[in-house]
Amino acid sequence: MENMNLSKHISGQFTAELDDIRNRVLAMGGLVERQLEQAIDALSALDAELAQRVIDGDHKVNGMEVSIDEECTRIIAKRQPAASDLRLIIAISKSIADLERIGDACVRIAKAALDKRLNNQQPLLVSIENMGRHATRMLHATLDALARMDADSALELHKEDAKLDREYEGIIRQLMTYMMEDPRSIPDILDVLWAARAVERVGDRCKNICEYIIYYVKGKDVRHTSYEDMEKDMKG
Amino acid sequence: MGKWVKSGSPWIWMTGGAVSISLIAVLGLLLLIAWRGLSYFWPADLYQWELEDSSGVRSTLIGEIYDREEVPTERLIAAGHVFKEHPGEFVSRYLVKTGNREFVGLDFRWILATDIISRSVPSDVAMIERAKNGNFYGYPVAVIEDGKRLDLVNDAIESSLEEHIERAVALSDKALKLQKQDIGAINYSIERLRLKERRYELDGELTDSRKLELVASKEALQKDYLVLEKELFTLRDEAARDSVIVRDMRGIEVELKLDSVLDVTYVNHLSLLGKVSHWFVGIGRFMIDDPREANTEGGVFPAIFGTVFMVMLMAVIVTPFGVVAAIYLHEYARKGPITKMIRIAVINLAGVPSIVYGVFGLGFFVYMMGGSIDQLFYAEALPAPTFGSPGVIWSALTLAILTLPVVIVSTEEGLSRIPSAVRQGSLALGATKAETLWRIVIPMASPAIMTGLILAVARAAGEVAPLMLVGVVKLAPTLPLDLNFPFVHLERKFMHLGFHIYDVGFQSPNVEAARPLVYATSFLLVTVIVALNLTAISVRNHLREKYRSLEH
Amino acid sequence: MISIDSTAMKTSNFDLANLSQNDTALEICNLDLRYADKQALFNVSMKIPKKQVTAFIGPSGCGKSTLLRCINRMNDLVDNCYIDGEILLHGQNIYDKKIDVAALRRNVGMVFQRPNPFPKSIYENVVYGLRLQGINNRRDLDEAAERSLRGAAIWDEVKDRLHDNAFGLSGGQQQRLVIARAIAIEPEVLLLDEPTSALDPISTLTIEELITELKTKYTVVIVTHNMQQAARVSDQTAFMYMGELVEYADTNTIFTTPKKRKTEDYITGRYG
Repeated sequence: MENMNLSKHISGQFTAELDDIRNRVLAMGGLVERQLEQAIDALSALDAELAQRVIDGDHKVNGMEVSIDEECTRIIAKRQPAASDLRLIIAISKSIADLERIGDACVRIAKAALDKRLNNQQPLLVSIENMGRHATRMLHATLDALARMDADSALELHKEDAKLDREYEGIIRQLMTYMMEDPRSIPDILDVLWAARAVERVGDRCKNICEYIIYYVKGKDVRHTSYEDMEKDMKG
Repeated sequence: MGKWVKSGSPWIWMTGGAVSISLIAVLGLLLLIAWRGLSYFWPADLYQWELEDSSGVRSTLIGEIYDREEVPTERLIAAGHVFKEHPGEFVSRYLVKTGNREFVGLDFRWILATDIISRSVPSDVAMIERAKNGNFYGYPVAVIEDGKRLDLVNDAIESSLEEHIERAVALSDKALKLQKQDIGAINYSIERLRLKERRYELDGELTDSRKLELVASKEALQKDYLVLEKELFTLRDEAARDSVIVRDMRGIEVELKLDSVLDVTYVNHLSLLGKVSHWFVGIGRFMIDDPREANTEGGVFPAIFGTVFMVMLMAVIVTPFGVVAAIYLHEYARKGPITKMIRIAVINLAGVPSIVYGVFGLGFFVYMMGGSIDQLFYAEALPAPTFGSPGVIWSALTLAILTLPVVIVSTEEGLSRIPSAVRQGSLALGATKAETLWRIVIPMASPAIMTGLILAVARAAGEVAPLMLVGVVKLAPTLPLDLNFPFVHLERKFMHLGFHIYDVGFQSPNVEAARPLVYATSFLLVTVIVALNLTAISVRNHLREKYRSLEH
Repeated sequence: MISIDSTAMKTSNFDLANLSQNDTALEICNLDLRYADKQALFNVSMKIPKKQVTAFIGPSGCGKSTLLRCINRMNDLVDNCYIDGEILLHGQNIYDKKIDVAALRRNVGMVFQRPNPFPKSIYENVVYGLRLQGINNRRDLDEAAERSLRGAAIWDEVKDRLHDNAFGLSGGQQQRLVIARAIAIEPEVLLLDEPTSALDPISTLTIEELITELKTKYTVVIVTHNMQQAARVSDQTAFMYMGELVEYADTNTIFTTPKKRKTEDYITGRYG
């Protein structure tokens, strides 16, 4: 691919439809990002009210996923997109599924924030908050890459996920220590574990979205490949 | 008004008007010719007039009214006519066909209405058609059979006369057939023997044995000839056995030999049905009989035959020639200025006056080609020309050149209308260009070729001027097609309806008598051309249906 | 009707640039074509694999039809058309002076944009090519007619009216008849020049279905304006632009991840 700054379609309507769907994905991304931020806030502050707002807000995310999916189906049926257009639609269709899952993860985090018992686990919450902030930054960057269709930053973000995984592993170790120290706290800690797990999943979803961005831009399916291969594909 | 002009109505009226005028002109022309031509065969009433002219001389006149006109009295007076009392400003004048040419000098007479004392329609007056001297009008009073006057009265005379005429006509026909076919064939053979002898002589191969052989066969033919001649004379004598005595308008009884009588009709007591059947018989005879009396009587069969034969011969020549030329021009010739010039030349050829073609035909075909053919193949007949004089083949060739542009242009038109997809389809199946032409292109262009042929036939059938130079004659003794080997005689001269019209209308000794014939012949010519065209058009429509083009 | 067939989904295994001699039906080498005043093809080189469907796509006037017509020398009919380069069929240059053009065309059949049946009966249309070869034996002709009409999937529709005029058929039937006519002489290569552009969508589908069947016996080269059609029926696709071969690859690649910007623009509708 020499250059992704494609000129407009002969059919202006088609261009408008594609622009529209991209904007809607970005809007959905923005919504999910805010949900995640608020969920992390709620968890760190154990703000039940905010947590409840996050839980209530999830149906909007779900609704957007459905409507964007419909739009994708309509474009495929009407326009029979090929090449980059086809890849764009496929990438979008898959990305919104992952965004929706991120939305679900937010709900899970928010539900953890509703648990009053966590008040006596402040140190744990701090490390989750850190990880959560990291995940939020990553989601933000992913959406940024999606908006610009920037394969290079997508590849960087793909690597970034490993850091998040390491943080997750650190939290697990910490939690295991707590659990061994005080078996009575196991139910509370499991709640935290679920929340941490949800945050970790956000990173995985972002990674998936990055793969779709690379698929769209490079036309290469980089799922389940090593970084070396990916980098080779990026150059090729 | 301005609105009306803008609405386009005047344009529609103008175009519609132009079509109506053309239509009226065509229909009017056809109707006039048809009416004048066909009414000639309707048996007109025979009148007997009692006349008294200004000097008081009384006379009787029998005849049929041909024409009637109003003449200003002044003019008649100026011409020296004296009236007893002034008849008014105009006087009616009748043209009466009186027949009886050998007795009255003129068989047409003008009579003035003022001279007529009385007019009657006598029922027992008869019109007798004769092979010579035109019609005879009068009262048949007796039939003479073999010199004996038969004792008959009134109706019996009529039936007996008809019977005897039938017999005489049958005998005459037989005699004519004998003369034309059998005796004609013998004469033809004798002529061929003479030519054979002459050829041997020219080639220096006239040996004594051959001489003897020739003499022997000639003698055998002569013997046959004598037998036939005798038979012919007997038949003629038989036909001349009877006669009829007719009282003419002078009151004198005249004896007419039945061998020259063709038919007798008691016109005045014919029923309507009788008249209609007489009319049909008249038209039929006109079409199948030979002409008589310097073409002013009888039929025009040789002219019809000559016209159709010549046109068909021309079509047979011009079609392949024109089609081949068009194919070369359209398919093979390199597109360029030379091809363009040739095409323009061909189109312009159609604009050359036809008489010029006649002159060319005479000079090139008749004298050069015909003369050369005579020298090469018919030397024995020289100095009498065979092909070296005008003939039907040269007429057909001349008209073929005349109509060639039409065929070329319309064939080319047809070729260019064949979708290239079809040609390419054939070529893509491994056909060569020639195979494609032969199997696909020419069949598909055939409707256009037929259109060209239709136009060519229409033009050729009506063309007279060039033919006068290259083959048409007033009276051809034989048809170009007969039973003598080689059956088709392309070197013979022929008769043509168009020339027949000209000849009868302008060259005949009896213009008055010929005028209806001119109309009748014109109508026939139109009919023949229409028939030829309709045939071609129906063939073309059939082809069109078969090779419908590819439009969906 | 549509089954998920593993062979249909499989991408071509051919390496088009290094196609072995055995798998190559046609090889076009450095082909230039000039009309009197303008050049229509610039240095086109490609190998067309045997018993596969190869599609030529590209905007109008890009030279795809011209290239197709070079393969059975239909361009010979055009005045002032000059060709440099070679097209190899069985390793022999078809522009060699020794080549019999009629024999070449028997070997490389062609079907045109508009159905062009001859003004003859259906039967005579089909056996036309055989008659040209001098085959007039009734039994041979009948057999060939049935075989090719079946091959073109039209036998059942016309078997009762073989001697009716071919113009009585519908456009789609006519086009299949023309294909039957082309395969009656058993060519190796079948060139289809926009065979469905004059047909309605349903007839188009029938022809497309037929094309996928034809490739079991013949090498098919198709020019089409309809990109979806190229995507549906072809195994290889060549994209041409302004007389040049821009991209030639297996169809799946061309329609999902074309390498060249021009191809991308063209197939996503950005051309122009």
